[in-house]
Amino acid sequence: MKRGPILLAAGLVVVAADLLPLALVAKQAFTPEAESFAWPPTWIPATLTADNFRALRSAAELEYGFFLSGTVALCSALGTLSLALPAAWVSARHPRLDRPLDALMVVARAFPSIALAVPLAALFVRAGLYNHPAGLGLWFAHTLLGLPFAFLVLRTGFASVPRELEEAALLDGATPLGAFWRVSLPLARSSVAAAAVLVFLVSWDEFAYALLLQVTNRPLPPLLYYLAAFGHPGMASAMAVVMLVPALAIIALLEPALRAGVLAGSGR
Amino acid sequence: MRKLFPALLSLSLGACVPAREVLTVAVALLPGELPAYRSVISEFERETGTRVVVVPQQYADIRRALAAEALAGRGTLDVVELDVYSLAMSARDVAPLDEMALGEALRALSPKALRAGRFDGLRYLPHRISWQALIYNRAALQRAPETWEELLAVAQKHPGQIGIKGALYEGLTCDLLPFVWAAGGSGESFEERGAERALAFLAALAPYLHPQSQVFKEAGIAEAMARGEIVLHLNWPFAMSLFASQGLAPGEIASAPLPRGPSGRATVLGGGYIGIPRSAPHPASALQLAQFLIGRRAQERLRAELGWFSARTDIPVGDGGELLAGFAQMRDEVRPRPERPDYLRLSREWQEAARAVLFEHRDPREVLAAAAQQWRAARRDAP
Amino acid sequence: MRQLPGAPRRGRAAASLALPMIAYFALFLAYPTAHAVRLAFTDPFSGAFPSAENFRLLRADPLFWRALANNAILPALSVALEVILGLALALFLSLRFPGRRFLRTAVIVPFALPEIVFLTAMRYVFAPRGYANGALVLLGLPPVEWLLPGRVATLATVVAADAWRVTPVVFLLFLAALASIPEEIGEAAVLDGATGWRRLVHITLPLLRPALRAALLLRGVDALRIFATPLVVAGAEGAPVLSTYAYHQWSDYGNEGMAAAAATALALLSAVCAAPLLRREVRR
Repeated sequence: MKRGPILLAAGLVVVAADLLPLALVAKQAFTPEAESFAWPPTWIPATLTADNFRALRSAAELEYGFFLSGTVALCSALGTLSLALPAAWVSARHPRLDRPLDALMVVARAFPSIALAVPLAALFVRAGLYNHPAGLGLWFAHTLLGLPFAFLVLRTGFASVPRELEEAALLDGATPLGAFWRVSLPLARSSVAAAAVLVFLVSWDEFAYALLLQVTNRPLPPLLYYLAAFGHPGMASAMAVVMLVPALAIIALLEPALRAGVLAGSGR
Repeated sequence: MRKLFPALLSLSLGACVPAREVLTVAVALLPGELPAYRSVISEFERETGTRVVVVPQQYADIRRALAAEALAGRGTLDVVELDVYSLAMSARDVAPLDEMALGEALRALSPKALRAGRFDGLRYLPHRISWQALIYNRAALQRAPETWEELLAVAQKHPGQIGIKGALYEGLTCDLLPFVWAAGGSGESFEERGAERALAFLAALAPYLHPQSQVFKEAGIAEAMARGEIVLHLNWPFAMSLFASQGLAPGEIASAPLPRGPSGRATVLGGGYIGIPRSAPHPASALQLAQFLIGRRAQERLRAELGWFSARTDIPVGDGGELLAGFAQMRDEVRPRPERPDYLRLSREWQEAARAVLFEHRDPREVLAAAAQQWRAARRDAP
Repeated sequence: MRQLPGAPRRGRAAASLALPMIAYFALFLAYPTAHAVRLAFTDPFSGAFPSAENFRLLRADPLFWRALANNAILPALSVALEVILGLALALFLSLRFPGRRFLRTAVIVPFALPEIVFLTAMRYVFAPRGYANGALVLLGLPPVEWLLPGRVATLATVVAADAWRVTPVVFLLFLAALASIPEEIGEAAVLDGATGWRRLVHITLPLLRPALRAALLLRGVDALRIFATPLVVAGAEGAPVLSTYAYHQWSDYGNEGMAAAAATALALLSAVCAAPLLRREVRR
């Protein structure tokens, strides 16, 4: 008896159940609000409409939200990479230094965002970074958040670059920095790319710091929270769908890295 | 593209290209109110050619943003809407308004409402006002209780069906203060006769409360009313719209004025007032926008499309129909909450006192004495 | 390890490469934490320092104690659920059948999407007139109050929502561990006549012990930080945990001191639970 198709069918059922809530939100986005209020709820859309998206577009400052989310993600990705690259390389090459750095990463990972966000908010207010129109305060917070992830991925990447190639370059008279730049970095390219995309995604999705540090100049996640917590399903679902599209695109970007197991061990 | 385009433009081209002026106004709008409000704003945009960005956010968050921008000395908000009871707290962060420039618009506003916006000069304008009325089940009660005695009689006849918003939050104060005022108290002292009488009355009411009263907030209590679990409660106008959309009002559920106590009756002033932050980037245009928002056309449209009450004397409460009749009748008995910077703490003390009486069944005199002591200690420690 | 010429000097130079990152942590992690501790021990009314007033206020607040209890129960249940589901999924998707690669990617989606999007979906699923109740009604069952504030059911709902979202992490971990089990072990067992079930229990599971330990430690510490899930799905008072309690105090009441105190308590709890992780790293 062929096991394959049965297993595939079972798998598809599991995945369908797993993703059902998202499908329902998508349904709500494309059906009129009245239908979303119906009881019992409809599972298959009776009428399709773009009204929710129109209302969203005319009412909410979507473009600004995208701009802010994107800017913060980009800048924190750059910040994270510039800090994590050298540190990860050091960790990969010098086991004695790796242990304290790794311990630091554990501490950073374990740290509750709220424990940082409250004092950060207070400190940022004094520094004029709270609720910044370009999300400056959030850049800093997200860079901090992304460091453990980037560090782990990059360290794995550098660890897989054979030492001998670096040492050969050093013997040829290159400086350590030169060896790093011309030998290790190019060879760890895929890890760097994966780390960059990962950190971008972490920042793009992030909710807690965004909620606490940006109150009237909001990136997309707190905006969606506001629409969902205080409003009706229509606009909130439309917003959720709008946020889904870039996220799915980024996942598609990351998928090859996922398969290659580059992200294993980063815990994300 | 309202914020994005000018931002990019000024970033890339420097000061050579003058960016179109963009005003930012923060209002406590529910997402459902956004489209209607935006369309009212777009009238202003058409008239003046100035773009306006509307930021919906909770009052507490707007307050926080305002405070942060005031501290920094520069900000992004041109007009902010604040909860009526937090006006005193944020008075230092908003600039006094040019009454000469506003002139005509001010004359149409109710003097009492306007007074609530004065803190060492006029700093706030009533954007929308609101108050609570008694909401009762006509099928069960035939007519609404008009005095405290009648209210108690109703409670005794319908045990477990009286609703009070008893969660530990500002809404509880809004349910409590009308009783304190109706008993002659001011709401600013725990040692007044009025406070004692009000809490004694609540203690008498306590055995007849709905069991969920301890966690009731506006939304929950309205749902309980709709389900028929309670026969009366206090609530804001939105509840009547909710019942109307469910077909329960104006038939089965109706509004009525609050019951009269020993010293008359009163209800709490709610709603939002707008102010111009000291750190506003475009103060002149902000004043124009504020003037527009309290103007006849804007207020009329807000009433028609969002059901907001206006402080303008030339705009009626509701549409004069049966739905908001109880609210309309209380128009002259609306009182603002104590206007003081430490109001939130005072309110918290009241909430705890009320909860002690209502849910822990403690003696009102004891509770008030303890509250008075705590309040004295807190004020001594306060900077 | 062969020492290249100038190695000690390079070692020091290398260490300096990690300095920017360490400095960043000092500035944005250590300093704010110190500030939070200071806030927690500052009297909220008089500004006196040190003062235990905030902690006294916490002690007197029943909501805080519920948050503390929930902060222990919720992560424990959620991690348990994730481990079971993640392991089951990993075992299932390690079997050879066509389309499993697609399924592996699809299963990750709830975690890969923005947290707020998934949690919004959960809100609508568990709303009083939501899809969960809709499904129950379809089956002829009475609807359930999934998210009434303060009930046990609410906690269970939040646990379910959290596990639903985070299981992919544990799944990936087990998947990688399973992939690293050499083929020969499985084949040897088959040759010895062991059935699938026995193979699983006596060979695979014991080999997965390190992965299980890693999963429990990693997720256990992570789960303590839970914030968005209870906040978005159940509201600040629905299923309070320390982080939402701190947020509630800070945002709705403006009680910075109490928020900092609750957050400090949470950080301490996390530190205690993360200690085993640290010991493991240091021993390596």
